[in-house]
Amino acid sequence: MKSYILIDGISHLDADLLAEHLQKKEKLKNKAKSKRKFNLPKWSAIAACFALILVSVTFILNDLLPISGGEFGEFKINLSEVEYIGEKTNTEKLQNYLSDHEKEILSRVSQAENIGMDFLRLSDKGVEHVTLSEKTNFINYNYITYYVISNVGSIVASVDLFSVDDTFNYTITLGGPAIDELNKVLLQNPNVDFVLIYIGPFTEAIIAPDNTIHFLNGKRDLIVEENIDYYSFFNKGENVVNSSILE
Amino acid sequence: MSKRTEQQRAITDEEIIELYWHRKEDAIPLTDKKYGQFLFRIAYNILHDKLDCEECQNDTYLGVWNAIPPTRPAVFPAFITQIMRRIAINRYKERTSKKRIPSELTTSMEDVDNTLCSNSSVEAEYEAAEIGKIISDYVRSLSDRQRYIFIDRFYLAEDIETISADLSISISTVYREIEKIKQGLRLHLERNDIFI
Repeated sequence: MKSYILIDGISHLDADLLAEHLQKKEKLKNKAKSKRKFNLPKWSAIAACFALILVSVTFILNDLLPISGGEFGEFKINLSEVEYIGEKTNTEKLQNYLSDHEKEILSRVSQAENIGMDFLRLSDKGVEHVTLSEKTNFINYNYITYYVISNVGSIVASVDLFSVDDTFNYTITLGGPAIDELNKVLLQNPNVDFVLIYIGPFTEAIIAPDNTIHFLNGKRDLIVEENIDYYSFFNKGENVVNSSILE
Repeated sequence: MSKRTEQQRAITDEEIIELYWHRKEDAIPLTDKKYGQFLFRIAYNILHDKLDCEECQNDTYLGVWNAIPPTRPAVFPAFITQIMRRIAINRYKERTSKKRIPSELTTSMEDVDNTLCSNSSVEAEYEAAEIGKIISDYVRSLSDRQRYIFIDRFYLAEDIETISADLSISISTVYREIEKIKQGLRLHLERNDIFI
């Protein structure tokens, strides 16, 4: 019986203390309930943010880093994006398209570069850009690059010719560091065939038979390993740019 | 949302009190709907017997019916809690006079109990009221967390696990706090010349 006095004493606890306690208890209970409750908008927002971050990171990585594939030292080159000769283009169709649009192309370059149209011509040979699907070995024709040459024997612009359904379309790249570099290399090495490689967006390089690599744009450090014959690796027989283009 | 929940939310404490005040019998089922579970839990913490708890609940509703009017409680849940606790403790005393039953109520007070002894039963009610005031002062001097633990453990006879979960603290922390509270209470009572 002795503990009853204390228990009874506690029973006489002031009502305001008890009221305050019950309120606090109720609040804690509600808080716990809301914690347990699945908050759809909250989790949707988190999921959306996560997806956005994932997509952003993917895009950034795609832009900044070369896609994995063939690896040369620290620099990775995706074989599917390297120039590859394979798909036969309907030459006759292509030549007809070029003939139809040559004046138009030269006119645009002429106006942009302020060079008379008579001083410009289109290169006879184009460098093919095709992609090779790594999984299926299926070769996809992408585009062919022709060059607009001035009468002094330098490249003024490049013309990328795309296959669109049964016909073609083109885009012109006027001047710029890549063309300057290409001119410099080709003029200094008039009798050398270079392999043009497309490494990734805005990143191209040409490789000489002695494995000298010149980056045309998107300059990157490439660790060259002596035991790899880059020229042979990328040269599939026809895909070369050489001084003959300028002739 | 269930119909029951809608009804619970629709009725306020003031409306229930008003029904008691005007002797409307609807007051009792509405009190049961809103606070039945809560009251049952308080009783169960003390008695650990379903049948006894249900009887205590009914006694509580009767007690509230008899108390209002003339009493007009400021905080209705606190008011019915006080009534329920006293009824449950009385039931507990009846039961323990016959046999020993396990309860959070005695477990919670065992340590303090060892340091205090009673020598009177005649003036128990008066003494209890006096001790109640002193304990209230002591509770007011406690930190928020200790105050919560004190009332939850010693008044509502909640188990340690529930307190720990409510406050998001470990069980050992609850035990430590309870130990401190008990020591403090003993000293506070002795300082006020309470040697029960």
